[in-house]
Amino acid sequence: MQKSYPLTRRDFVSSASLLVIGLALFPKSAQNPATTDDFVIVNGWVLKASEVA
Amino acid sequence: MIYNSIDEYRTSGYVADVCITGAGPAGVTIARELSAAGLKSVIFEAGGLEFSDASQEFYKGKTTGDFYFDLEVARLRFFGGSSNHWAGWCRVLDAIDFEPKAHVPDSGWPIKRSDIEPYLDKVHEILELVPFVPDRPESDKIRWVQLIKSPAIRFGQKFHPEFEKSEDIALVLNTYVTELQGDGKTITGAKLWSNGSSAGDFKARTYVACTGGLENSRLLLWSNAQSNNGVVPHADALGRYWMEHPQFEGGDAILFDHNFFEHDATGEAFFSPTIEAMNERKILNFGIRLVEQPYPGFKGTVAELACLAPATAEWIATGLGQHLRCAAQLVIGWEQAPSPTNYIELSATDRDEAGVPRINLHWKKGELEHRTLLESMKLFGEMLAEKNLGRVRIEDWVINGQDYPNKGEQVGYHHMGGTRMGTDPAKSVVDANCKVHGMDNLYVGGSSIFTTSGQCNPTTSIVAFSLRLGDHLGKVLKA
Repeated sequence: MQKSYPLTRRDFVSSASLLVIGLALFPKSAQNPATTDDFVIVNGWVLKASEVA
Repeated sequence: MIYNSIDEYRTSGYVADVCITGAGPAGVTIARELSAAGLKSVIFEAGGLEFSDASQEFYKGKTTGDFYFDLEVARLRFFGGSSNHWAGWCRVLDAIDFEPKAHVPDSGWPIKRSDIEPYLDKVHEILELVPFVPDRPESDKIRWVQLIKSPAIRFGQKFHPEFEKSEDIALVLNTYVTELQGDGKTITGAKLWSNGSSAGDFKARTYVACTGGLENSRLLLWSNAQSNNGVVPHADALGRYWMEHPQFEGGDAILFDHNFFEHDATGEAFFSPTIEAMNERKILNFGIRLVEQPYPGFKGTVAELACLAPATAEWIATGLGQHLRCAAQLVIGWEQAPSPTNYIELSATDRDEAGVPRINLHWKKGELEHRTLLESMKLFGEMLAEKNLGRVRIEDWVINGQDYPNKGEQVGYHHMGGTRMGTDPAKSVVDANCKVHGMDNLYVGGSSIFTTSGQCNPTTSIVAFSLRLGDHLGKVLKA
């Protein structure tokens, strides 16, 4: 029997929040990121600290 | 010559200088080197020319600790040994694998990579490899490395014609060396078993155990038990420091430039840490396999969404009747720290048909292994983010230090250690020339001699070490 995957509130929240983060992370300005050694993990993603500040 | 039984061999009148147990990559390579040096060897192969359930049955054993595959499945007992199910991945241990590291107890070999480098051209010939591309730094912490997917040489098939014609190599099939006999200084003989019964003793000048990364320990432990430590006089480390290569999917990656990294013919790219990163993060060596699965059009959009909202993407993909995943898969295979608490012992209750106790394998990944897994993903993610080449998502279970999932490959079927190389007889079994400490004429070949495991598949290094041992024996025995 095929397993179904109903949308959950967590999906919508995570999609929306990650979309916002994604839009904030990958604009043109992110093509030349500031030099830093600091990284953070956000929802499993390895990001530069400056990207989430 | 190839003989189907010990009886056939005995009627031949062949006299061997060296007795080799096991016709896998190590035994075959050593015999060929001895032949090149003008020395005669006999290889006793417990199995026949082909796979058989009856032969595999001798490999049954028990495992405790972390999940491990059935021992009769994880290796093969016939001519060619486990090369018969080898996937063919090739890479030699890194120079840094031979070095001691302050954060890895009992690390450091008594030899360096430069000691096996003179044999690498021959390794390439035997395994039919193209030359390796040198490692390239991607950052000060991550280097691009090459693993070559070779034709996966089956040693039995490849060398069968050569062995049939050889006058210096006698391959005796279906003949199981159940025990070596020794007096604490010299091996005096080998006990044989064939076709369901004892087949008497055999004597040679020199003996080389090449029965594999599990069986070498079993053979020597049993021989020691029967001879009051007459085979391995310094036996503290015998069977101990056993290692595997854990292998799990650690996460995903979205790549902004799919052509940035050089991929191999299978579309995969490999990355390892620099020695600086290993020391700074206090981790072991690792190999990250970046597996890209590009999908066209709308499927690609859904696959990339899989990184951001896995359940949502799976819901859409299921509607499409597809199983899609995030743009690139990150599979980590990594080094296991050498530990005396990972060990092979003889079963007190279970024996094979020849009366030899079966193996109980105690194997568990430790804190250093988990730290290496997490830090490997972080290091790769940091490199991608710093160079703005993409972003890495690490699996929750990796970040949270939860149990390893019971899915995927989990290990590499790489059996290493148990008779490790070293200078201290309390922490090793063989010396830098693969000779058993305290013994005059007993050597060990194969991955059981590995002091540390490195991160790469062991077969290429096994062949290199075997060429070196064959070369050494040729010089010693001709002197």
